[in-house]
Amino acid sequence: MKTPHRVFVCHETPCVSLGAESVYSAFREEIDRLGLDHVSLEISGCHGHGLCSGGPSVVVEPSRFFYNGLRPEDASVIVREHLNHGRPVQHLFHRDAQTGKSVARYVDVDFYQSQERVALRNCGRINPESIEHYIDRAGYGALQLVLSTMTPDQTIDIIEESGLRGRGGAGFPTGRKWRFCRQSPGDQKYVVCNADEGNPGAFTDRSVLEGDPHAVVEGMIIAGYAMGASKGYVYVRAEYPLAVRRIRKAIKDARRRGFLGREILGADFDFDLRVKEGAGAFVCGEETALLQSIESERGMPRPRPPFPTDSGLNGKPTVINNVKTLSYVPVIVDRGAEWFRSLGTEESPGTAVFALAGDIRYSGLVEVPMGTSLSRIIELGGGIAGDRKVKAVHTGGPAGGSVPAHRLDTPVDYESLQELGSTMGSGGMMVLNEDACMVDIARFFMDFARSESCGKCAPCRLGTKQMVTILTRIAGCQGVERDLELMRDIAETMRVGSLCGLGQTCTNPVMATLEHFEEDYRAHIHEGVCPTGACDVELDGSHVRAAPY
Amino acid sequence: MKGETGTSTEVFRTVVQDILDDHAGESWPLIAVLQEIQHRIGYIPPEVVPLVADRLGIFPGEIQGVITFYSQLRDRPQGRTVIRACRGTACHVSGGTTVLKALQGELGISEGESTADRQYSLETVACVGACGLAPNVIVDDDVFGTMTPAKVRKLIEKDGEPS
Amino acid sequence: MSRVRVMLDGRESEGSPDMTILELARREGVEIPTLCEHRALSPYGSCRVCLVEEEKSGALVASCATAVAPDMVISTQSDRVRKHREMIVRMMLASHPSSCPVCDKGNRCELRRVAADLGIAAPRMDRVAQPTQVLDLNPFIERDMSKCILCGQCIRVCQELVVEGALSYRERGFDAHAATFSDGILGDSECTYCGACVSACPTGAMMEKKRVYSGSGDRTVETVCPYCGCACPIQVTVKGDRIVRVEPADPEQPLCVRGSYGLDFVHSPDRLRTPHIRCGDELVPVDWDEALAYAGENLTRIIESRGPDAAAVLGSSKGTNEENYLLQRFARGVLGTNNVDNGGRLYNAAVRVGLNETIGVPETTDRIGALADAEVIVVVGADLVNSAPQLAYAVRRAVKLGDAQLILIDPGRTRLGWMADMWLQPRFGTDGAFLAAVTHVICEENLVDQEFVARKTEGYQALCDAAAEWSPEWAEELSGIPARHIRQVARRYAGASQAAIIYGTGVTQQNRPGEGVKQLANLTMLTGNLWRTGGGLYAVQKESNGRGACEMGALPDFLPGYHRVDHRGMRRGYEETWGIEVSDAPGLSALEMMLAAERGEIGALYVVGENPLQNYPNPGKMRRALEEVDFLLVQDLFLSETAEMADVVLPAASFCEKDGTFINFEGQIRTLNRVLDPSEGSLTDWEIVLGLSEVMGSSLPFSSVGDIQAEVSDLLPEIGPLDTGRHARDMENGGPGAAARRWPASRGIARFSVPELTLPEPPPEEYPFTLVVSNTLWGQGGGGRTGRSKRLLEFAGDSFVEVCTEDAGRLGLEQGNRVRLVSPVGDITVRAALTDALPQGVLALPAHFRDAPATALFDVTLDRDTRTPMMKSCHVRMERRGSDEG
Ligand SMILES: Nc1nc2c(c(=O)[nH]1)N[C@H]1C(S)=C(S)[C@@H](COP(=O)(O)OP(=O)(O)OC[C@H]3O[C@@H](n4cnc5c(=O)[nH]c(N)nc54)[C@H](O)[C@@H]3O)O[C@H]1N2
Ligand SMILES: Nc1nc2c(c(=O)[nH]1)N[C@H]1C(S)=C(S)[C@@H](COP(=O)(O)OP(=O)(O)OC[C@H]3O[C@@H](n4cnc5c(=O)[nH]c(N)nc54)[C@H](O)[C@@H]3O)O[C@H]1N2
Ligand SMILES: Cc1cc2nc3c(=O)[nH]c(=O)nc-3n(C[C@H](O)[C@H](O)[C@H](O)COP(=O)(O)O)c2cc1C
Ligand code: SF4
Ligand code: SF4
Ligand code: SF4
Ligand code: SF4
Ligand code: SF4
Ligand code: FES
Ligand code: FES
Ligand SMILES: [Mo]
Repeated sequence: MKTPHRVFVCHETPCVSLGAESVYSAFREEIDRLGLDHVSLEISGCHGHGLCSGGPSVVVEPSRFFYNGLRPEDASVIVREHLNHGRPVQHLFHRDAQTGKSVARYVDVDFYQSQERVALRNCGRINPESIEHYIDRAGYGALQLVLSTMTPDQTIDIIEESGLRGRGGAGFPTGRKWRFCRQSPGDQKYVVCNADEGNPGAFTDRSVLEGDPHAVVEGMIIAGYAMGASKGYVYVRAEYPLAVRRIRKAIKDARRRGFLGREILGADFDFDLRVKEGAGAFVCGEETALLQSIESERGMPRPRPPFPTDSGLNGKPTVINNVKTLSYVPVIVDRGAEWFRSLGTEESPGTAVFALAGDIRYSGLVEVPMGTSLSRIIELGGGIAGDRKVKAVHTGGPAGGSVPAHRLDTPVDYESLQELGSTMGSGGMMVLNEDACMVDIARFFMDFARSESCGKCAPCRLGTKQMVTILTRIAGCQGVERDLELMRDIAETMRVGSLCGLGQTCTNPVMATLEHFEEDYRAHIHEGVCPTGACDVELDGSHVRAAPY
Repeated sequence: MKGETGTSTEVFRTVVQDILDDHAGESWPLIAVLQEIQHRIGYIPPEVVPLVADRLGIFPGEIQGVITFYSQLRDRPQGRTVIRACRGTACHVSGGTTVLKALQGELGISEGESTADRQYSLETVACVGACGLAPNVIVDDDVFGTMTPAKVRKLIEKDGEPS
Repeated sequence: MSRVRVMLDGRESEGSPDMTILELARREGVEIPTLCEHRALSPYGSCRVCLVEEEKSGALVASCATAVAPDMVISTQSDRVRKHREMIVRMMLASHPSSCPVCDKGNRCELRRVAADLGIAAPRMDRVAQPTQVLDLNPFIERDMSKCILCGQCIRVCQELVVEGALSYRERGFDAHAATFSDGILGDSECTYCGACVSACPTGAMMEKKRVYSGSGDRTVETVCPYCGCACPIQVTVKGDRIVRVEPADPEQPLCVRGSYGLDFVHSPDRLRTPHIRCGDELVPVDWDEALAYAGENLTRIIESRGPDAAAVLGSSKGTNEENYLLQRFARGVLGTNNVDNGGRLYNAAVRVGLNETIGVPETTDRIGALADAEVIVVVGADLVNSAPQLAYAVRRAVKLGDAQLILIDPGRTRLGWMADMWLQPRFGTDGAFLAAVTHVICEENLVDQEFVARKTEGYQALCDAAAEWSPEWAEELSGIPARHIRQVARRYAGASQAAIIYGTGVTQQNRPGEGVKQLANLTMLTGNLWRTGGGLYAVQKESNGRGACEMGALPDFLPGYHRVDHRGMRRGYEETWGIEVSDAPGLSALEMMLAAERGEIGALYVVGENPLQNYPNPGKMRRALEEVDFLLVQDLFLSETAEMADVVLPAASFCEKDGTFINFEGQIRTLNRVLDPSEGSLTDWEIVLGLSEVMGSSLPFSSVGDIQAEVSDLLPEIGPLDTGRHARDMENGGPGAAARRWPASRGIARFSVPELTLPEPPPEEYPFTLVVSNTLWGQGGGGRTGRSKRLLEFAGDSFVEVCTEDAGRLGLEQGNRVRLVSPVGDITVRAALTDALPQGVLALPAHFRDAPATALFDVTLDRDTRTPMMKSCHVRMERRGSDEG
C-alpha cells in the first residue's frame, strides 16, 4: 500500500491567471491514466503566500513538498516521478529568489518561517470547497463547544478577553461591539460580514474567503449565538466571483450538515446566512453604506449615531465585522483568549495579515504577529527588487499613509501606524522605491477617493474634487506655494467635517506625504519638474489656476 | 442573448418577469435582480426599469439612481469583449497608467466606452486581488498579469482573430 | 422621558434624548446655519454647515443629525466651527455661479445668507463648475443645476414627503445630481408640480417660474388654500397688490399644484369689479348702495308677498365658517326659512345620512397623520392623488415608508394603482353588493372584534342574520369582483390590527350613497377599527370648507353643530340667542330648491359661491328653473354662467381677501388671514350678507368676523373657539378630531344598520358606454377658479374624455380625435385621450371643463334619503366627429 497523497493545486485568482486550471487538468489526466488511487487531487486556496507571482503553485501532502511556476507538462513529470515512484522532482521545486537555491518543502521557505498563520491557518491546506476538509481540521468544533457549554455572555467574554480588534481598519474591540449589540433591545438582530474589500491593493479578505470560507461561516454563527441574532448576511464584492461561489457553497454545505438552520446542533438556536453581492462601490465598505447596499439602495452612508449595533439592517441591532475578524473567532474559542493574547502586542493582540505588493520580490499575503516591524516584513518579502532602495511603505490604502524609509523600524499595530499618519487599514501594504513620486501617490489615492465618493456630503464631494484639481496642477508643475496650505486647510475640513470615514480619512495620503515628503511637492512647484518622472499628466486650461487666491 | 442588438422589448420583459419571480419574497432583492438582468441581457435596458419598479414598489428613478451609483451596473450595452484595466495601487505603481493608455490608444476609446463595432468595451476596475502580477488587465473573466504596452498590442491582436 | 443636561455656548440647558442639538439650540434661540435640514424629514447630515463642536471630545458633529447626550459641552460658534463652516461654504461657492445680483432667489437664498453671515466674499480656490440649466418646458418650475449644492432636499421631499418619486439621485461623487428617471425634464417624469421641492430648495437651483423677475416680496401672510378639503395652510408672499409666491406654511404639509401655482385666479381680469343690476337683457353696473338696496327690496317683497319659504339660499362650501354661519342665520332669521343648503350637498349628504344613523359622528373620524399607523388602507371610489393630494401623500407614505398595504376598490386605475397590493374593479354602482359580501365573510369566518361589538355597538345580530344571504359568489355575479378576492379583502381588512377606510364620490355620488356609507361604517364597527388610531373612516369628498359649511348649519335640516331643526330641544338655544322662532320643518335641499323653482315655487333665490348652471345635473333643466325664479341674486368672484342669469350680481372678495376660518375634512380648524385688500369693487361675503340684512331692516348684531366667532363659540362650546387651537384641545380631551367631540347624534354606542341593496340599471342598448366623471389635478369643481388660473390652464385648457385603447381601436379612434358624447339628457363634444387605466366600455370625463360640462349629460335623479343627485356615472353613446365639425 502506498502512502496516501493529497495534491493541492492553488486555485486563487493569481494562480488561475497563470494557468492553474490547465495544470490541474494535466494532473488529473496523468493520475487517471496511471490509475493512482492513493492520490487525491484537490484545489486549494493560496499556499504561495507571497509567492503568487511565481505561480501556479502546487503542494503535495503529507510532506508538503512545494512546487511552483509549473507548466502543464510539468504535471505529468510530478505524477510519474513523485506520486508514483516517490521521487520528488527537484528541478521543479520553488526557488528562493535571493539565494537561487531550490526549496523542497513548504515549511522551509523563508517567507513562512517568521509567519504565524492564524487567520490563514487553513488556507492552502484544505480544499475550500469541502466541508469535510474543514471539519477534519477541527472545523465547527468551536461552534459545538460554544453551543454545548457556553452562554452567549460567556462567548462574548472570551472574545473580549482575547483583546481581538476589528481587522476592517478601525480596530474597534470586537467583544465590546458584540456586547453593545447583545444589550440593544430588539426582537430581530443581524450579523453582517463585511467582505467588500474595496481597498485597491488589498486582497487579504479574498484569500480567506477563497481559501477557508467555513472559518468565516463558523465565526458568524458563533457571533449570531452571542448576539441573539437569527440572520446574517455576507456582503461580498461581486468582483470576487470565486469568493462568492465558495462562500455560497460553504453556506449550503453548512446548512446541509446542520450548522445553519433551525435548532443548530440540537441547541435552542436558529441562525441562517445569505450572501449579498456588492456591485462596485468602495464606499460600501463603510458600515452604514454597506447596510444601505444590502437593503438594495444607493450606498450612501447615514449619520452615526445611531450606530448599527442599535439600528442597523431594517432598523434592527446589527453587528458588522470584517472577514478576518470573524475568521479569528473559532480559533480564539478553541485555543483560548490567553493564547491569542500571547501573540502580538498588549494593545493589539494577535496577528496581522498584509497584502504585500509594490516593489518587493515576493508579493502576496504575509501574516505576522502584531508589532512586527515594517522592515522585517520587507525582509520576509524578499526585499526590494533589483538594486533599488525603499523610499516609503504605504499602508492602509486610500485611508492610509506612507511611512518614510527611515521609520521602517515602526512596529505594525493600530496605534503606532496612526502616529505616523497612516493606518492598518484592511491590510494593503505597498512598498515604494526611489522611482516613486509621492505627489503621484497622493494624487493617485485622492483621485480614487474622488471617483468613489458617494457625493452625499459637501466636504467630501467638493473637497475630493478640489484636492484632485490642485494635485493635478502640482503634478503638472503649475502649482504654487499657496496650494500646499490650501490643501492642508481643505484636508482638515474634510477630516473633521465629512459624514463618513471615506471623506474623513481619504486625505491621509496627502497629509502624510506633505508631512514626510514635502520636498517632492516643492520640486514640482519650484523646480518645475517631477523629480522621478512618475507624474505623467497633461494639463489643459481647466487646470491652470484661475481663481484669485 | 448577451449584448445582442435588436432583441425585442418583449423578450426583455419575459426575462425580467422570470427573474422577478425567482426573487419573490426575498428581502431587498433589487440589486440582485439588476445583476441578474445584466447577466442575462448584458446590461439593464432602461425600458425594463419601470417593470422592475412596479413589481418591487420602488420608483423608476430610484432604480436608475442605484444603477448609476454602482460601477458594475450598466444601463447601456457593452462590447462583446470587455477589457478592464486595473487601477489598483499595485498596478498603478507598476505602470498601470501606461497600460491603460496603451489600451486606449489601441482601441481608440476611453474608459466607459465601447468601440464602434461593439467588439470591445474598455473599463477600469479597482484591484482584482492579483497585485502580485501587477499591472493587470482583465479580459472578460481572465486575468492577464505583468502587462506592458507591447503585451497589450499582442493581447488585442490575438483576441481580434477569429478562433 | 429622561432629561439631558448639556452646556450650550456656555449656558446650562436641558433637553431630552430624542432631541437633536439643533432642536435644542433653536429652542434656546441660538442660531445655527443649516442647508440640508428639513423639519418633516429624518436627519440627513449632508451639507455639514451645521457643524458644532463638542468641546470635551473636540469632535465636530452635525447638529441636525446628532442627538443631545448627557454632559455634552457644545459650542456653536468656536473658531474651529467657524473655520470649517467657512471652508465648506467656500467650496460650495467655488462650484457655483457668481450671479447673485441677477438670481431670482435673491435674499431668500439660504446659501447666500449663510455665506454672508460667515463673511465670505469669494471662494478663493479653483472654480469647478457644475452642469447648468435644465430646460424644463413647464409653466411652474425651472431648474438650474449649476446652483445646486446637492443638499438632497428636493429628492427627499419628492420621495419621502409627497412620495411622487419624480426626482432621485443619479451618479455619485462630484457627478451626483438630482435627476428624473430619464435624466431629462420634469415634464417627462412623474412630477405633478406640487412644488414641494421648490419650497425646500435652499438655493436658486429649483425655482418657481415667472415671466418677469419679481424680486423679493413685501410681506408674507399665512392663510389657507381654498381648493380641496385638505385646506392646506399656505404662506402667501405679496409684492404690492399681487401674489408672487405661495408656499406651504407647514413644511410637513406640502401643497399640490393647485395650491402652489393655481391661486393666480384672484388676479384674473375676469374678476367682477362692481355690482350689476339687470335691466332687460343687460346687466348694468351700479354702485353698492344701489345694488344692496335693490336686492333688499326684492327679497322683502317676495317673502312678504309669497311667504318666507318662497325664498331660498344656496350657500357655499368655499365660504368661511363665519360666512356660512351668518348666511344660515340670515336665511332663518332675516328671511325666516330653513331653505338653506350648501353645494356640499352634492357630495357629502351621504356621509351625514350614513354616519349619523350608524356611528353618530357625521364626519371623517381621524386625522391624516394617523394613517402612518395603519396596516391596511382601503380606498373605495376616491381618486386621492387628484382630489385630496395631502391625503394621497399620507397614504403613500404609509405604504412606501411604513408597513401599510393598500387595497383599491375602483373601476378605474387611479394614480395610486402602482403601489396597491390589490386593485379590484367593481362594476359601477355595485359597491353595495361587494361590501355586503365583505360583511358576510367577516361574520361567517368570525373575523369580528367581539369585544368592541359587545361593548360599543348594537344591532349586531340583525346585521349578521341579514349578511348570511350575501355570499361572495352572489356578489361576484353582480359586481364582477371574483369571490376569492372578496374573501381576501375581508380577511386582510379584518385581520389587520389597524385598518383605515377612505372613500369618495365613487360611493357618495353613486347609486344609493347613504347605504354605501352605512356599509362602510358597519365594517369599521365589526372589526373594531372605528376609533382606533390608524383605523377609522375618511371621507374625501370635500371642498376646502365643505365640512365647516355643514357644521355651521348651512343645511336645511340641521342648525349649527348638527342640531336638528325638527327637534325642539335642539332648536331652543338658537331661538333664544337669535331672538326668533325657527321653523321646525326642514327646508329644501340644493337640488330640491332647483326643482321647486322649476315648478315656480321659488320666488327668490340667493346663490353665494355656487354655480348650479355649470355644476348641477341637466343644465337645461337648471336654466328653466332659474328662469322661473322671480328674483335671482348671485354673489360670486366672477360672472359665472349662473350669474349671467341673475337679477343682481354682487362681486365677492376671494379667500385671500378676508379673515375667517375653515374646517378641513379632518376637522382641523384653519385660519384665513387677509393677504390682500378686497379686489377693486368687491366686498367680502360676510360684509355683503350683513349689508343685506341691514337694508332689509333686521340688522344682524355683528360688525366683525370676531363677533361672529364669539357667537359660534357661545352656541357651540364643543367646537370651541374658532381658532387653530382646536386640534390641541381634542388631543387633551382624550382623542383625536371627531372622535372626542360630543355629537348630537352620538350616544357613545354605534348602531349597525342593515343596508338596503339596490343595484343600478344595466346600460340601455343605445347608450353602451358608462361615463364616469373624474378629476384632474389642474381643475377644481366646475373650473370657476382653476379655469381662470393662467398657469393651470396650460394643462387644464382643452377638454377631453379618456377612452381605453381597446374601445378606441374598435371605433377607429386616435388620440385627439373629436367625439360627441350623447346621453338621454344632452350632449357635449370633446377630444379623445387614449389610456390604459380604464376598463373597456368606460369613459372618464373630468368635471372641470367649462366648455364641456359633464353635467350636461346627467339627469336629475334624487336619492330618496340623501336628496342628492347621482352624478358619478351615467350611460352615453360616443360618436366620432370630423375634424372641422364643432
Ligand atoms: N383636482 C380636484 N380635486 C378636487 C376637486 C376637483 O374638482 N378637482 N373637487 C373636490 C370635491 S368638491 C370633491 S367632492 C372631491 C371628490 O373627490 P373624489 O371622490 O376622489 O372624486 P373623483 O376624483 O371623481 O374620484 C372618484 C373615483 O371613484 C371611482 N368610481 C366611480 N364610480 C364608482 C363606483 O361605482 N364604485 C367605486 N368603487 N368607485 C367608483 C372613479 O373611478 C374615481 O376614481 O374632490 C375634491 N378635490
Ligand atoms: N356630473 C358631475 N357634476 C359634478 C360633479 C360630478 O362628480 N359629476 N362634481 C360635483 C361636485 S362634488 C361639486 S363640489 C361641484 C362643484 O361645483 P361648484 O361648487 O359650483 O364649483 P366651482 O366652480 O368650484 O365654484 C362655484 C363658484 O364659486 C365661486 N367662488 C369661489 N370662491 C368664492 C367665494 O369665496 N365667494 C363667493 N361668493 N364665490 C366664490 C366661483 O367663482 C365659482 O363661480 O360640482 C359638481 N358637479
Ligand atoms: C470608506 C470605507 C471603506 C471601508 N471598507 C472596508 C472593507 O472593505 N472591509 C472592511 O472589513 N471594512 C471596511 N471599512 C471599515 C468598516 O466600516 C467597519 O469598520 C468594519 O467592517 C468593522 O468590522 P471590524 O470591527 O471587524 O473591523 C471601511 C470603512 C470606510 C470608511
Ligand atoms: S464622506 Fe464622502 S463617501 Fe462619505 S458620505 Fe460624505 S460624500 Fe459620501
Ligand atoms: S442661488 Fe443663492 S448664492 Fe446662488 S446665485 Fe442665487 S442667490 Fe446667489
Ligand atoms: S436642487 Fe436645491 S434642493 Fe435639490 S439638491 Fe440642489 S440645492 Fe438641494
Ligand atoms: S414638484 Fe413635486 S412631484 Fe415634482 S419633482 Fe418637485 S416634489 Fe417631486
Ligand atoms: S388643493 Fe388641496 S391639497 Fe392642494 S394645496 Fe389646496 S388644499 Fe392642499
Ligand atoms: S492593484 Fe491591480 S490587482 Fe491589485
Ligand atoms: S443642516 Fe446639518 S448637515 Fe446640513
Ligand atoms: Mo364636491
